[in-house]
Amino acid sequence: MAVHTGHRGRLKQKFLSDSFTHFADHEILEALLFYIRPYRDTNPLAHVLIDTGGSLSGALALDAAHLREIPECPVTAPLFFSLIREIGRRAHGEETVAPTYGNYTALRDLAKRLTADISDDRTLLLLFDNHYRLLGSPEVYRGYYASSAFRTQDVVAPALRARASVAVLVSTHASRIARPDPYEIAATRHMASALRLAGVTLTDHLILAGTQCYSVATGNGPLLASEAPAAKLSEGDKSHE
Amino acid sequence: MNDLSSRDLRATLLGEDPTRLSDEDLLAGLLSFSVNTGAVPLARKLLSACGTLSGVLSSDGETLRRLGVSDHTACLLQMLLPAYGRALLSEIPCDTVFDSVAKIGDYFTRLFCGVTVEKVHLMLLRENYTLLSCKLVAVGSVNSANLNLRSLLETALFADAKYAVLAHNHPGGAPQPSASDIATTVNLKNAFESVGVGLLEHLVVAGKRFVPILLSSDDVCREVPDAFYHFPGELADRP
Repeated sequence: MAVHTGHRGRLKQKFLSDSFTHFADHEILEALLFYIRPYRDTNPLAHVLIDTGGSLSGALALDAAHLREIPECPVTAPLFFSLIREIGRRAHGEETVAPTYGNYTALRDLAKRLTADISDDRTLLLLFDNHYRLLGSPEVYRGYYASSAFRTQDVVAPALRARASVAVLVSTHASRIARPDPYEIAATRHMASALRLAGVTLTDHLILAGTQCYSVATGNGPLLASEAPAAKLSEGDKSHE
Repeated sequence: MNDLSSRDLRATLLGEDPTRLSDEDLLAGLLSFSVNTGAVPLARKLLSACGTLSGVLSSDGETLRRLGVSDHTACLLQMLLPAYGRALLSEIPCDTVFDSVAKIGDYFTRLFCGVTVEKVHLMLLRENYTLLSCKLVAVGSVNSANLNLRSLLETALFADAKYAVLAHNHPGGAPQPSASDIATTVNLKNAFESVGVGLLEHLVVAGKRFVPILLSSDDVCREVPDAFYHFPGELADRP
């Protein structure tokens, strides 16, 4: 990830860490203006626009004629603002019900979709809220995940940051064998305890290889088509080896 | 059309009525401010992966990165709904009288626009229903583990509030209250009553819709006049 320096970088970082919670209205407009005024300070323009429009909403609603009269206002501003208004209006009004992944089949299909173009050994951490809606799927390790280089903080930190309640590990096996070895199973249980301490339930660890999928929690292999939610990993070793 | 430069794309969109543009054209137009070419294929790819405009705009950074979106572009996409939400909030005058669920619900749908995690807010009102404050009190679901009841009561008491409203969002979901939402509300209402504050409602918000929890229970706040639940455009007498 590129290192952000300077005022723009600081403003972007502030947004990425806590959205616009600690932003004044003119700072929000300033951040949006970065995209139409790439090389100059956008703070004075943001102030002028809000003063002219009366509010953040008023600024974004200024028509082309008004915007043309504002010194240093880019000619692309009318189009940019009208797109923001219309996209915001549509997206805000959309009836969305996010998909949930509370059953094994949906989870398995999600895991396959997310790892479709991965060809080496990687481990992703799928993070969900209480209703099994997906919060994020950060990659947490590359390589053999039973190695000691894969630390508990590599899963606990992302889970807490996303404020997840439920987590599922997904690992790809480049060897094309969808089975964990005993060390890998031990590593999974170790991660499960660490996450449990942090208040996050690790409900499964899916091993994907080729088109096959093995669930560590239930010990079910590639022939599985069960709809039952995965059992908790605290219940001992389910491997059949 | 695929290798149209962003500058040319913007030229074709200029003068078009945005309400008549497709979701893909709108998104491509927005992306043209962040990429030099390929805005149209990128818009198509994002909509196909995320389903809807709001799906694209509520995606987390990692998902966007995996879809080939740069940090610069991802930031624009992630900023859009929260900025729009703040613009919506800026339309509400600070001396608004919040004497109906319609007005309070409308306020909260603006507040929660673009918020992708579950958050709980406490709105405090004076006796004349004007706003004292509206603070974030918890992040995460509404359950006893998350809400510090004592802290909520202290906040209301020290602000000299006469009325309180609790609201939380269901990001990307339906605004249906869960069993724990309902149980928590009844406890809270009694607790607030014990310090002389009327908990008018507990709203669950999703997108532009909201559901008042107390309305459908027997625990409607005693101090609330009938007109409180009147929604403009509906028949005056509710069953």
